[in-house]
Amino acid sequence: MKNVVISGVGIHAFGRHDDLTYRDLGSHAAREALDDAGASFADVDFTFVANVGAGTAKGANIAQLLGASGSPVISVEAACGSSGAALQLGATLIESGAASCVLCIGVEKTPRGLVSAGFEDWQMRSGLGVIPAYFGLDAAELLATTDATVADLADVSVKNHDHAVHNPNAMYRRRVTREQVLDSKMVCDPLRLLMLCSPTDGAAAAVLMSRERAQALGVDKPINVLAVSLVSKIPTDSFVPMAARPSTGWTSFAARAAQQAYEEAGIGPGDLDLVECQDTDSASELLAYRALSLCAPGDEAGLLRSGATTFAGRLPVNVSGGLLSKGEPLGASGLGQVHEVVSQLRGEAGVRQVLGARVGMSHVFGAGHTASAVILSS
Amino acid sequence: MSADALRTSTPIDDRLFFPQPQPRAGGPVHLRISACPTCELLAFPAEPRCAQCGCPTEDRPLTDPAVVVTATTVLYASAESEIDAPYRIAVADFPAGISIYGLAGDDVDRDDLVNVVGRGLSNGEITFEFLRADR
Repeated sequence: MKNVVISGVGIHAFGRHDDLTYRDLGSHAAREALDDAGASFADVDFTFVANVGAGTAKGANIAQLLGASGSPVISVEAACGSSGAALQLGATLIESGAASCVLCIGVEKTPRGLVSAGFEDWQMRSGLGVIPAYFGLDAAELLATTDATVADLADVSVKNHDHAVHNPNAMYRRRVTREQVLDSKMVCDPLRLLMLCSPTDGAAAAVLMSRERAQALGVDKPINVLAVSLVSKIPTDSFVPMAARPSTGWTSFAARAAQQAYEEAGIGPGDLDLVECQDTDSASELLAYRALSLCAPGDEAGLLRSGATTFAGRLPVNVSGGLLSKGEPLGASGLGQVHEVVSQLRGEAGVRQVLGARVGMSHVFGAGHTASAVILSS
Repeated sequence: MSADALRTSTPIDDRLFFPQPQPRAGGPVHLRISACPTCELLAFPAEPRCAQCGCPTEDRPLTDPAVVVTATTVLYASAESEIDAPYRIAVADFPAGISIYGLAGDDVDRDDLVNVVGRGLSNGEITFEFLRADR
Protein backbone atom coordinates (compact mmCIF):
# COMPACT_ATOMS: atom_id res chain seq x y z
CA MET A 1 0.00 0.00 0.00
CA LYS A 2 1.58 3.28 -1.10
CA ASN A 3 -0.94 6.09 -0.91
CA VAL A 4 -2.75 5.65 2.40
CA VAL A 5 -1.98 7.42 5.65
CA ILE A 6 -3.67 7.67 9.00
CA SER A 7 -4.33 11.33 9.70
CA GLY A 8 -6.13 11.05 13.02
CA VAL A 9 -7.08 8.62 15.74
CA GLY A 10 -9.55 8.73 18.61
CA ILE A 11 -10.62 6.49 21.42
CA HIS A 12 -13.17 6.17 24.20
CA ALA A 13 -11.66 4.48 27.23
CA PHE A 14 -12.41 0.74 27.36
CA GLY A 15 -14.37 -0.52 30.35
CA ARG A 16 -17.93 -0.88 31.56
CA HIS A 17 -19.93 2.23 30.71
CA ASP A 18 -23.48 1.36 31.71
CA ASP A 19 -24.61 4.98 31.41
CA LEU A 20 -23.49 5.36 27.78
CA THR A 21 -24.91 3.94 24.55
CA TYR A 22 -22.91 2.59 21.64
CA ARG A 23 -23.81 5.81 19.83
CA ASP A 24 -22.20 7.84 22.63
CA LEU A 25 -19.04 5.73 22.57
CA GLY A 26 -18.69 5.59 18.79
CA SER A 27 -19.37 9.25 18.19
CA HIS A 28 -16.91 10.20 20.93
CA ALA A 29 -14.08 8.24 19.30
CA ALA A 30 -15.04 9.51 15.84
CA ARG A 31 -15.05 13.16 16.88
CA GLU A 32 -11.70 12.76 18.56
CA ALA A 33 -10.24 11.17 15.42
CA LEU A 34 -11.67 13.85 13.15
CA ASP A 35 -10.36 16.61 15.44
CA ASP A 36 -6.98 14.89 15.51
CA ALA A 37 -6.93 14.90 11.70
CA GLY A 38 -8.08 18.50 11.49
CA ALA A 39 -11.06 17.34 9.45
CA SER A 40 -14.82 17.42 9.78
CA PHE A 41 -17.38 14.73 9.04
CA ALA A 42 -18.23 16.65 5.86
CA ASP A 43 -14.73 15.81 4.58
CA VAL A 44 -15.37 12.07 4.86
CA ASP A 45 -16.16 10.12 1.66
CA PHE A 46 -17.02 6.79 3.34
CA THR A 47 -17.56 5.68 6.92
CA PHE A 48 -17.16 2.06 8.06
CA VAL A 49 -18.50 1.14 11.47
CA ALA A 50 -17.09 -2.07 12.94
CA ASN A 51 -19.41 -3.64 15.49
CA VAL A 52 -20.73 -7.05 16.46
CA GLY A 53 -23.82 -6.69 18.58
CA ALA A 54 -25.60 -3.36 18.14
CA GLY A 55 -28.16 -4.44 15.54
CA THR A 56 -29.62 -2.81 12.47
CA ALA A 57 -28.54 0.65 11.25
CA LYS A 58 -25.85 0.98 13.88
CA GLY A 59 -23.48 2.86 11.60
CA ALA A 60 -26.14 5.30 10.49
CA ASN A 61 -27.21 5.86 14.07
CA ILE A 62 -23.69 6.92 15.02
CA ALA A 63 -23.28 9.03 11.90
CA GLN A 64 -26.40 11.02 12.79
CA LEU A 65 -24.57 12.28 15.86
CA LEU A 66 -21.67 13.43 13.68
CA GLY A 67 -23.86 15.61 11.46
CA ALA A 68 -24.90 13.16 8.77
CA SER A 69 -23.59 14.36 5.44
CA GLY A 70 -25.23 11.82 3.15
CA SER A 71 -21.94 10.08 2.35
CA PRO A 72 -22.08 6.27 2.56
CA VAL A 73 -22.04 4.75 6.04
CA ILE A 74 -21.51 0.99 6.07
CA SER A 75 -21.67 -1.35 9.06
CA VAL A 76 -19.08 -4.13 9.17
CA GLU A 77 -19.29 -7.28 11.26
CA ALA A 78 -16.47 -9.81 11.43
CA ALA A 79 -16.57 -10.76 15.11
CA CYS A 80 -13.37 -9.72 16.93
CA GLY A 81 -11.81 -8.99 13.54
CA SER A 82 -14.41 -6.34 12.67
CA SER A 83 -12.02 -3.40 13.03
CA GLY A 84 -9.52 -5.06 10.73
CA ALA A 85 -12.22 -5.57 8.12
CA ALA A 86 -13.28 -1.91 8.33
CA LEU A 87 -9.68 -0.73 7.99
CA GLN A 88 -9.03 -2.99 5.02
CA LEU A 89 -12.13 -1.71 3.22
CA GLY A 90 -11.22 1.90 3.90
CA ALA A 91 -7.59 1.57 2.93
CA THR A 92 -8.46 -0.31 -0.26
CA LEU A 93 -10.92 2.37 -1.31
CA ILE A 94 -8.27 5.05 -0.89
CA GLU A 95 -5.51 3.06 -2.55
CA SER A 96 -7.79 2.43 -5.53
CA GLY A 97 -8.58 6.13 -5.87
CA ALA A 98 -12.28 5.69 -5.10
CA ALA A 99 -12.01 7.79 -1.95
CA SER A 100 -9.58 10.23 -0.37
CA CYS A 101 -10.90 10.31 3.18
CA VAL A 102 -12.42 7.36 5.09
CA LEU A 103 -13.53 7.27 8.70
CA CYS A 104 -13.29 3.88 10.43
CA ILE A 105 -15.07 3.51 13.75
CA GLY A 106 -14.98 0.46 16.00
CA VAL A 107 -17.50 0.34 18.81
CA GLU A 108 -19.00 -2.21 21.15
CA LYS A 109 -21.32 -2.53 24.12
CA THR A 110 -20.54 -6.12 25.01
CA PRO A 111 -23.16 -7.94 27.09
CA ARG A 112 -22.00 -9.45 30.35
CA GLY A 113 -21.50 -13.19 30.41
CA LEU A 114 -20.30 -15.62 27.77
CA VAL A 115 -19.97 -14.26 24.24
CA SER A 116 -21.20 -16.46 21.42
CA ALA A 117 -19.12 -17.17 18.36
CA GLY A 118 -21.19 -18.61 15.58
CA PHE A 119 -21.59 -22.07 17.03
CA GLU A 120 -24.18 -24.40 15.55
CA ASP A 121 -27.24 -25.24 17.63
CA TRP A 122 -26.07 -28.81 18.29
CA GLN A 123 -22.77 -27.45 19.64
CA MET A 124 -24.59 -25.08 21.97
CA ARG A 125 -26.96 -27.74 23.33
CA SER A 126 -24.07 -30.22 23.65
CA GLY A 127 -22.18 -27.81 25.93
CA LEU A 128 -19.54 -27.14 23.29
CA GLY A 129 -20.48 -23.49 22.70
CA VAL A 130 -18.15 -21.99 25.29
CA ILE A 131 -15.42 -19.81 23.78
CA PRO A 132 -13.00 -19.85 26.75
CA ALA A 133 -13.01 -23.65 26.56
CA TYR A 134 -11.46 -23.49 23.10
CA PHE A 135 -8.79 -21.14 24.43
CA GLY A 136 -8.28 -23.61 27.26
CA LEU A 137 -7.84 -26.46 24.77
CA ASP A 138 -5.29 -24.41 22.80
CA ALA A 139 -3.48 -23.43 25.99
CA ALA A 140 -3.31 -27.04 27.21
CA GLU A 141 -1.97 -28.12 23.83
CA LEU A 142 0.64 -25.34 23.89
CA LEU A 143 1.85 -26.51 27.30
CA ALA A 144 1.95 -30.12 26.15
CA THR A 145 3.81 -29.53 22.90
CA THR A 146 6.32 -26.81 23.84
CA ASP A 147 8.35 -25.93 26.92
CA ALA A 148 5.81 -23.29 27.94
CA THR A 149 4.56 -23.60 31.50
CA VAL A 150 1.63 -22.35 33.52
CA ALA A 151 4.03 -19.83 35.05
CA ASP A 152 4.68 -18.47 31.55
CA LEU A 153 0.95 -18.04 31.04
CA ALA A 154 0.84 -16.09 34.28
CA ASP A 155 3.81 -13.98 33.24
CA VAL A 156 2.09 -12.84 30.04
CA SER A 157 -0.67 -11.44 32.22
CA VAL A 158 1.84 -9.87 34.61
CA LYS A 159 3.65 -8.19 31.69
CA ASN A 160 0.54 -6.78 30.10
CA HIS A 161 -0.91 -5.54 33.37
CA ASP A 162 2.44 -3.82 34.02
CA HIS A 163 2.15 -2.11 30.67
CA ALA A 164 -1.41 -0.94 31.33
CA VAL A 165 -0.56 1.03 34.45
CA HIS A 166 0.23 4.05 32.31
CA ASN A 167 -2.61 3.67 29.82
CA PRO A 168 -5.59 5.85 30.78
CA ASN A 169 -7.75 4.01 28.23
CA ALA A 170 -7.27 0.58 29.82
CA MET A 171 -9.99 -1.11 31.89
CA TYR A 172 -7.57 -2.51 34.45
CA ARG A 173 -4.56 -0.40 35.47
CA ARG A 174 -3.26 -2.29 38.47
CA ARG A 175 -0.18 -4.49 38.47
CA VAL A 176 -0.67 -8.14 39.28
CA THR A 177 1.89 -10.66 40.50
CA ARG A 178 2.48 -14.15 39.17
CA GLU A 179 1.08 -15.50 42.43
CA GLN A 180 -2.10 -13.45 42.10
CA VAL A 181 -2.63 -14.75 38.59
CA LEU A 182 -2.02 -18.33 39.65
CA ASP A 183 -4.35 -17.90 42.63
CA SER A 184 -7.19 -16.43 40.57
CA LYS A 185 -10.25 -18.52 39.83
CA MET A 186 -9.88 -21.38 37.35
CA VAL A 187 -12.01 -20.85 34.24
CA CYS A 188 -10.95 -23.51 31.73
CA ASP A 189 -7.76 -25.24 32.78
CA PRO A 190 -5.02 -24.23 32.48
CA LEU A 191 -6.49 -20.75 32.05
CA ARG A 192 -7.39 -18.78 35.15
CA LEU A 193 -9.43 -15.62 35.39
CA LEU A 194 -6.45 -13.24 35.23
CA MET A 195 -5.18 -15.06 32.13
CA LEU A 196 -8.34 -14.17 30.19
CA CYS A 197 -9.49 -10.80 28.87
CA SER A 198 -12.82 -9.31 29.86
CA PRO A 199 -15.30 -8.59 27.10
CA THR A 200 -16.24 -4.95 27.66
CA ASP A 201 -17.42 -1.64 26.20
CA GLY A 202 -15.36 0.84 24.23
CA ALA A 203 -14.72 2.58 20.94
CA ALA A 204 -11.82 3.67 18.78
CA ALA A 205 -11.58 5.40 15.41
CA ALA A 206 -9.12 6.31 12.70
CA VAL A 207 -9.26 8.75 9.81
CA LEU A 208 -7.59 7.37 6.69
CA MET A 209 -6.58 9.69 3.89
CA SER A 210 -4.71 9.69 0.61
CA ARG A 211 -1.34 11.37 0.86
CA GLU A 212 -2.57 14.22 -1.32
CA ARG A 213 -5.62 14.84 0.85
CA ALA A 214 -3.56 14.77 4.03
CA GLN A 215 -1.10 17.20 2.52
CA ALA A 216 -3.88 19.50 1.39
CA LEU A 217 -5.36 19.53 4.89
CA GLY A 218 -1.93 20.13 6.44
CA VAL A 219 -2.05 16.97 8.55
CA ASP A 220 0.75 16.90 11.11
CA LYS A 221 2.61 13.57 11.44
CA PRO A 222 0.67 11.39 9.00
CA ILE A 223 1.32 7.69 9.66
CA ASN A 224 2.01 5.50 6.65
CA VAL A 225 -0.24 2.47 6.15
CA LEU A 226 2.21 -0.06 4.70
CA ALA A 227 -0.24 -2.96 4.71
CA VAL A 228 -3.71 -4.02 5.80
CA SER A 229 -4.34 -7.70 5.21
CA LEU A 230 -7.68 -9.42 5.58
CA VAL A 231 -8.22 -13.15 5.19
CA SER A 232 -11.12 -15.50 5.79
CA LYS A 233 -10.90 -19.07 6.93
CA ILE A 234 -10.21 -22.04 4.72
CA PRO A 235 -11.38 -25.57 5.57
CA THR A 236 -8.07 -26.57 7.17
CA ASP A 237 -7.93 -23.61 9.58
CA SER A 238 -8.18 -24.39 13.27
CA PHE A 239 -10.12 -21.83 15.27
CA VAL A 240 -13.29 -21.55 17.30
CA PRO A 241 -16.11 -22.53 16.57
CA MET A 242 -14.92 -25.41 14.42
CA ALA A 243 -16.11 -28.92 15.25
CA ALA A 244 -13.11 -30.63 13.67
CA ARG A 245 -9.69 -30.01 12.17
CA PRO A 246 -7.22 -32.11 10.17
CA SER A 247 -5.06 -34.38 12.32
CA THR A 248 -1.93 -32.91 10.81
CA GLY A 249 -1.16 -29.90 8.68
CA TRP A 250 -3.95 -27.75 10.03
CA THR A 251 -3.51 -24.09 9.25
CA SER A 252 -3.84 -20.71 10.96
CA PHE A 253 -5.72 -17.83 9.40
CA ALA A 254 -3.96 -15.55 11.87
CA ALA A 255 -0.58 -16.59 10.49
CA ARG A 256 -1.84 -16.20 6.94
CA ALA A 257 -3.00 -12.64 7.66
CA ALA A 258 0.39 -11.76 9.13
CA GLN A 259 2.29 -13.24 6.20
CA GLN A 260 0.18 -11.34 3.70
CA ALA A 261 0.81 -8.11 5.57
CA TYR A 262 4.57 -8.67 5.63
CA GLU A 263 4.56 -9.37 1.90
CA GLU A 264 2.46 -6.33 1.13
CA ALA A 265 4.62 -4.08 3.30
CA GLY A 266 7.85 -5.55 1.95
CA ILE A 267 9.25 -6.04 5.44
CA GLY A 268 9.70 -8.88 7.91
CA PRO A 269 9.17 -9.36 11.62
CA GLY A 270 12.73 -8.22 12.26
CA ASP A 271 11.79 -4.75 11.07
CA LEU A 272 9.09 -4.25 13.71
CA ASP A 273 9.60 -1.96 16.69
CA LEU A 274 6.39 -2.88 18.50
CA VAL A 275 3.39 -5.19 18.16
CA GLU A 276 -0.17 -5.05 19.44
CA CYS A 277 -1.59 -8.56 19.19
CA GLN A 278 -4.77 -10.31 20.24
CA ASP A 279 -4.12 -11.53 23.75
CA THR A 280 -7.64 -12.78 24.28
CA ASP A 281 -5.92 -15.02 26.80
CA SER A 282 -2.32 -15.51 27.86
CA ALA A 283 -1.79 -18.51 25.59
CA SER A 284 -3.18 -16.57 22.63
CA GLU A 285 -0.38 -14.02 23.01
CA LEU A 286 2.22 -16.78 22.97
CA LEU A 287 0.54 -18.36 19.95
CA ALA A 288 0.54 -14.93 18.29
CA TYR A 289 4.34 -14.83 18.65
CA ARG A 290 4.32 -17.92 16.43
CA ALA A 291 1.60 -16.71 14.05
CA LEU A 292 3.37 -13.37 13.51
CA SER A 293 6.74 -15.15 13.04
CA LEU A 294 8.21 -13.28 16.00
CA CYS A 295 9.90 -16.52 17.02
CA ALA A 296 10.40 -20.03 15.76
CA PRO A 297 7.57 -22.48 16.50
CA GLY A 298 8.18 -23.91 19.94
CA ASP A 299 10.17 -20.91 21.17
CA GLU A 300 7.18 -18.82 22.27
CA ALA A 301 7.94 -19.09 25.97
CA GLY A 302 11.63 -18.50 25.30
CA LEU A 303 10.81 -15.18 23.64
CA LEU A 304 8.69 -14.18 26.61
CA ARG A 305 11.32 -15.24 29.15
CA SER A 306 14.03 -13.32 27.29
CA GLY A 307 12.23 -10.11 28.18
CA ALA A 308 12.13 -9.10 24.51
CA THR A 309 8.39 -8.47 24.57
CA THR A 310 8.34 -6.23 27.63
CA PHE A 311 8.23 -2.45 27.38
CA ALA A 312 12.02 -2.23 27.67
CA GLY A 313 12.71 -5.20 25.41
CA ARG A 314 13.81 -5.31 21.78
CA LEU A 315 10.25 -5.95 20.52
CA PRO A 316 7.62 -4.77 22.99
CA VAL A 317 4.30 -6.57 22.62
CA ASN A 318 1.07 -5.03 23.89
CA VAL A 319 2.57 -1.93 25.49
CA SER A 320 -1.01 -0.67 25.72
CA GLY A 321 -1.68 -3.45 28.21
CA GLY A 322 -3.30 -5.61 25.57
CA LEU A 323 -6.78 -7.00 25.80
CA LEU A 324 -5.86 -8.67 29.09
CA SER A 325 -5.73 -5.21 30.69
CA LYS A 326 -7.75 -3.01 28.37
CA GLY A 327 -10.65 -5.43 28.07
CA GLU A 328 -12.04 -6.48 24.72
CA PRO A 329 -14.80 -4.46 23.10
CA LEU A 330 -15.15 -6.89 20.21
CA GLY A 331 -15.72 -4.56 17.28
CA ALA A 332 -13.38 -1.89 18.62
CA SER A 333 -10.37 -3.89 19.72
CA GLY A 334 -8.49 -3.72 16.41
CA LEU A 335 -8.89 0.03 16.08
CA GLY A 336 -7.84 0.31 19.71
CA GLN A 337 -4.60 -1.42 18.73
CA VAL A 338 -4.16 0.98 15.82
CA HIS A 339 -4.73 3.93 18.17
CA GLU A 340 -1.85 2.67 20.31
CA VAL A 341 0.51 2.02 17.40
CA VAL A 342 -0.20 5.45 15.88
CA SER A 343 0.40 7.15 19.23
CA GLN A 344 3.71 5.29 19.57
CA LEU A 345 4.87 6.06 16.03
CA ARG A 346 4.09 9.74 16.54
CA GLY A 347 6.09 9.73 19.77
CA GLU A 348 3.01 10.75 21.73
CA ALA A 349 2.59 7.75 24.05
CA GLY A 350 3.88 9.55 27.10
CA VAL A 351 5.30 7.41 29.90
CA ARG A 352 4.80 4.21 27.88
CA GLN A 353 6.56 5.58 24.78
CA VAL A 354 8.72 2.99 23.04
CA LEU A 355 11.86 4.92 22.22
CA GLY A 356 12.69 5.13 18.54
CA ALA A 357 9.54 3.33 17.40
CA ARG A 358 9.24 3.64 13.62
CA VAL A 359 7.36 0.52 12.48
CA GLY A 360 4.50 -1.18 14.31
CA MET A 361 2.04 -3.99 13.71
CA SER A 362 -1.43 -4.74 14.98
CA HIS A 363 -3.22 -8.02 14.61
CA VAL A 364 -6.77 -9.24 15.24
CA PHE A 365 -8.83 -12.30 14.42
CA GLY A 366 -12.50 -13.02 14.76
CA ALA A 367 -14.29 -16.18 15.78
CA GLY A 368 -14.86 -18.35 12.81
CA HIS A 369 -13.88 -16.38 9.86
CA THR A 370 -11.65 -13.31 9.69
CA ALA A 371 -8.11 -12.29 10.57
CA SER A 372 -6.33 -9.05 9.82
CA ALA A 373 -2.90 -7.53 10.27
CA VAL A 374 -1.96 -3.85 9.93
CA ILE A 375 1.59 -2.54 9.50
CA LEU A 376 2.21 1.15 10.04
CA SER A 377 5.32 3.34 9.86
CA SER A 378 6.19 6.87 10.87
CA MET B 1 -47.00 -37.54 21.53
CA SER B 2 -45.38 -34.45 23.01
CA ALA B 3 -42.40 -32.75 21.43
CA ASP B 4 -40.33 -33.62 24.49
CA ALA B 5 -41.17 -37.29 24.15
CA LEU B 6 -40.33 -37.24 20.47
CA ARG B 7 -36.91 -35.87 21.25
CA THR B 8 -36.16 -38.58 23.74
CA SER B 9 -33.25 -40.57 22.35
CA THR B 10 -33.28 -38.45 19.22
CA PRO B 11 -29.84 -37.69 17.79
CA ILE B 12 -29.07 -34.04 18.40
CA ASP B 13 -28.24 -33.56 14.72
CA ASP B 14 -28.64 -36.21 12.02
CA ARG B 15 -25.45 -35.10 10.31
CA LEU B 16 -23.35 -36.30 13.25
CA PHE B 17 -24.21 -40.01 13.27
CA PHE B 18 -24.79 -43.02 11.10
CA PRO B 19 -28.22 -44.45 11.90
CA GLN B 20 -26.75 -47.82 12.93
CA PRO B 21 -26.07 -48.55 15.65
CA GLN B 22 -28.93 -46.34 16.81
CA PRO B 23 -27.40 -43.63 19.01
CA ARG B 24 -28.35 -44.11 22.64
CA ALA B 25 -26.86 -42.92 25.89
CA GLY B 26 -23.88 -44.98 26.89
CA GLY B 27 -23.93 -47.06 23.71
CA PRO B 28 -21.44 -47.12 20.85
CA VAL B 29 -22.07 -44.69 18.00
CA HIS B 30 -20.52 -44.18 14.60
CA LEU B 31 -19.75 -40.55 13.91
CA ARG B 32 -20.43 -39.61 10.30
CA ILE B 33 -17.77 -37.70 8.39
CA SER B 34 -17.75 -36.73 4.73
CA ALA B 35 -14.80 -37.33 2.46
CA CYS B 36 -14.09 -35.62 -0.83
CA PRO B 37 -13.13 -38.19 -3.52
CA THR B 38 -11.23 -35.49 -5.40
CA CYS B 39 -9.16 -33.56 -2.87
CA GLU B 40 -9.58 -35.97 0.09
CA LEU B 41 -10.72 -33.25 2.50
CA LEU B 42 -12.55 -34.72 5.49
CA ALA B 43 -15.35 -32.83 7.22
CA PHE B 44 -17.30 -33.17 10.43
CA PRO B 45 -20.23 -32.74 10.60
CA ALA B 46 -20.61 -34.37 7.20
CA GLU B 47 -21.22 -31.91 4.37
CA PRO B 48 -22.77 -32.83 0.99
CA ARG B 49 -20.26 -30.69 -0.90
CA CYS B 50 -16.54 -30.35 -0.27
CA ALA B 51 -15.71 -27.00 1.33
CA GLN B 52 -12.39 -26.97 -0.49
CA CYS B 53 -13.18 -27.92 -4.09
CA GLY B 54 -16.97 -28.09 -4.26
CA CYS B 55 -17.20 -31.73 -5.36
CA PRO B 56 -19.97 -34.01 -4.03
CA THR B 57 -18.70 -35.91 -1.01
CA GLU B 58 -19.10 -39.46 0.30
CA ASP B 59 -20.20 -40.25 3.84
CA ARG B 60 -17.94 -42.48 5.93
CA PRO B 61 -18.17 -43.86 9.45
CA LEU B 62 -15.41 -42.73 11.75
CA THR B 63 -13.58 -45.68 13.22
CA ASP B 64 -12.33 -45.43 16.80
CA PRO B 65 -10.36 -45.60 19.01
CA ALA B 66 -8.95 -42.10 18.85
CA VAL B 67 -6.13 -40.41 20.72
CA VAL B 68 -6.82 -37.30 22.81
CA VAL B 69 -4.54 -34.40 21.86
CA THR B 70 -5.88 -31.85 24.34
CA ALA B 71 -8.60 -31.54 26.97
CA THR B 72 -10.01 -29.03 29.41
CA THR B 73 -12.79 -28.70 31.96
CA VAL B 74 -15.70 -26.33 31.44
CA LEU B 75 -16.67 -24.81 34.77
CA TYR B 76 -19.27 -22.35 33.44
CA ALA B 77 -21.76 -23.59 30.86
CA SER B 78 -23.64 -21.35 28.44
CA ALA B 79 -27.35 -20.74 28.97
CA GLU B 80 -28.18 -22.88 25.93
CA SER B 81 -26.25 -25.89 27.18
CA GLU B 82 -28.23 -29.04 27.96
CA ILE B 83 -25.45 -30.30 30.20
CA ASP B 84 -24.54 -28.83 33.56
CA ALA B 85 -21.02 -27.70 34.40
CA PRO B 86 -18.53 -28.89 35.35
CA TYR B 87 -17.85 -31.17 32.44
CA ARG B 88 -14.89 -32.07 30.31
CA ILE B 89 -14.27 -31.48 26.58
CA ALA B 90 -11.46 -32.79 24.42
CA VAL B 91 -10.04 -32.95 20.93
CA ALA B 92 -9.67 -36.56 19.78
CA ASP B 93 -7.53 -37.53 16.81
CA PHE B 94 -8.97 -40.39 14.73
CA PRO B 95 -7.02 -42.78 12.51
CA ALA B 96 -8.85 -41.46 9.44
CA GLY B 97 -6.90 -38.20 9.77
CA ILE B 98 -9.41 -35.89 11.43
CA SER B 99 -9.58 -34.51 14.97
CA ILE B 100 -13.01 -33.97 16.52
CA TYR B 101 -14.06 -31.60 19.34
CA GLY B 102 -16.47 -33.21 21.77
CA LEU B 103 -17.53 -33.92 25.32
CA ALA B 104 -15.27 -36.26 27.27
CA GLY B 105 -15.38 -38.39 30.36
CA ASP B 106 -14.26 -36.81 33.62
CA ASP B 107 -11.00 -38.77 33.62
CA VAL B 108 -10.04 -38.19 29.97
CA ASP B 109 -6.76 -36.40 29.33
CA ARG B 110 -4.10 -35.93 26.66
CA ASP B 111 -2.69 -39.13 25.09
CA ASP B 112 -5.62 -41.24 26.31
CA LEU B 113 -7.08 -43.77 23.89
CA VAL B 114 -10.83 -43.14 23.66
CA ASN B 115 -13.97 -44.58 22.09
CA VAL B 116 -17.04 -42.63 21.03
CA VAL B 117 -20.31 -43.31 22.85
CA GLY B 118 -23.72 -41.67 22.98
CA ARG B 119 -24.32 -39.11 25.72
CA GLY B 120 -27.82 -38.21 26.89
CA LEU B 121 -28.62 -34.56 27.43
CA SER B 122 -31.10 -33.08 29.88
CA ASN B 123 -33.63 -32.50 27.09
CA GLY B 124 -33.49 -36.15 26.04
CA GLU B 125 -31.39 -35.66 22.93
CA ILE B 126 -28.32 -37.76 22.25
CA THR B 127 -24.96 -36.20 21.53
CA PHE B 128 -21.57 -37.93 21.70
CA GLU B 129 -18.64 -38.10 24.09
CA PHE B 130 -15.21 -39.62 24.29
CA LEU B 131 -14.64 -42.24 26.98
CA ARG B 132 -11.37 -43.94 27.82
CA ALA B 133 -11.01 -47.17 25.88
CA ASP B 134 -9.60 -48.99 28.91
CA ARG B 135 -12.75 -48.43 30.99
